[in-house]
Amino acid sequence: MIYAENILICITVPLAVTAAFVRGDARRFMLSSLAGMVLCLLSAYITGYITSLGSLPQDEISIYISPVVEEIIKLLPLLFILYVFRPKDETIFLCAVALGAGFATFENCCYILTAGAESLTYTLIRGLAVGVMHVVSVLALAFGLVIIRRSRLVTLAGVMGALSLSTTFHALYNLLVSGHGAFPYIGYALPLAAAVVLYFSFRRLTGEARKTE
Amino acid sequence: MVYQWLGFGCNIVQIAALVVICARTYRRLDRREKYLPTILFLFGMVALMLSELYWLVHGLIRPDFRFPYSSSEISQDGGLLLLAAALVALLGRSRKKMLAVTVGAVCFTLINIALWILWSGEWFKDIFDGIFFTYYVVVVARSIKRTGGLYKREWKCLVLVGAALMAGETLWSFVPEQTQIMADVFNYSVIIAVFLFFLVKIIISLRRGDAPARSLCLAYGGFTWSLFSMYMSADPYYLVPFVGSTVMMVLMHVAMEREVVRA
Repeated sequence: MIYAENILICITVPLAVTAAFVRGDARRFMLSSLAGMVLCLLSAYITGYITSLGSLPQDEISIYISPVVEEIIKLLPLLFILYVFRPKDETIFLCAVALGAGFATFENCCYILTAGAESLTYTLIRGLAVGVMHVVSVLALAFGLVIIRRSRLVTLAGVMGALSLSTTFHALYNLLVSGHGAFPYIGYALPLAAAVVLYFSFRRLTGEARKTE
Repeated sequence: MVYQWLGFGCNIVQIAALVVICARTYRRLDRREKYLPTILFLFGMVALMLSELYWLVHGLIRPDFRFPYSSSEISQDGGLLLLAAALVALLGRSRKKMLAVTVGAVCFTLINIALWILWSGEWFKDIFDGIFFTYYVVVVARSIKRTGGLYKREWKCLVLVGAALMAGETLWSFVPEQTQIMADVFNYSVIIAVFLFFLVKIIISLRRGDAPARSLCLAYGGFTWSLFSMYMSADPYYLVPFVGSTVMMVLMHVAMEREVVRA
């Protein structure tokens, strides 16, 4: 048993104080990662509530329920930022990666405190696989939102489509790591491979290459 | 067992086809024109690929357990929405009402949804899926009408055949098992005939060099029909429309590529 709320306070207070002393993108990054941590706790509450309603084992909760809850929770602040502040594309990506990183950091902290940090392999897997997975899935959402806002015709369909992409990516990862044999290793490699693909296709996917031609 | 492995094989072929389609569509993103429809089409295909990949992995890891509404379905619904969005972005919103086409598409889809619920009993999943599917079918039907993909008499035939198929499927659900085989023969004949009709229309349209949007809308229509066919087919026959849907995805890509290249 860990006290996740206490851990959240412990991690977020120094970051919140830091955010007061910085300006511009640095502050946006700080606040977004703080939001990511709070959202991680919120999604844990919701998943816990859904678990208490049904009789599904923990494995099935993490495969079928958590990805949907977590991705919807991550989408909401991005939609808020997009429609309330109407920022530039770069700002959306900045907020998205910070949100994903904050979410992953808090989740990793809680897992490490529960399971211990003696094993370097386990710690590396947590960092490189789960951590990157949250960043990649939220980036996919941000990609979708940035593209969708260029056309007023397809907003709802586009948002739902982007959400489905990030949810399935997340669920696929959870499903793979729950398997036996080679499946978990494929699962651990999946977020890193996706991150590499996104990194190299960033400009073309956002249309930057097209604009600068 | 043989059927199961055959299913995995078809899954892998479709995933491979989708990977190639995604890679080729990605290469077209540097075009100035049609960027938005192309990227929406790409995202739609990625969503369908993830859906198939999830389904394949799920079948290998947890073959005995099926969640009522899993990520495979979420991704497929998302993929359909994105493909519909690509079509809307390509053609723009129409001011014409096209009431007959819209009502016809909605009715046909709603009857299908009712039949899915009757067959599977998964009412939540079928209704939820049905909302997205109805939107997709309406967008596709209206786009075919707008681009003149089908002649008037072809529309009439399609309505008649669709109504007969719905009657056949409903009959199948309520008759005794011995009689079901007759209904099966009729229903599968209709399903295959309409699929072949779309296939021939698309190939003729592509070969003749019709306006690419027309070929694309027809390919969307063929893909939609293959989806309807998959949901209407029982297990041993399911793989036939599944392979058909792979063929239609390839044709959709060919038509989309022509549209982008022409721009």
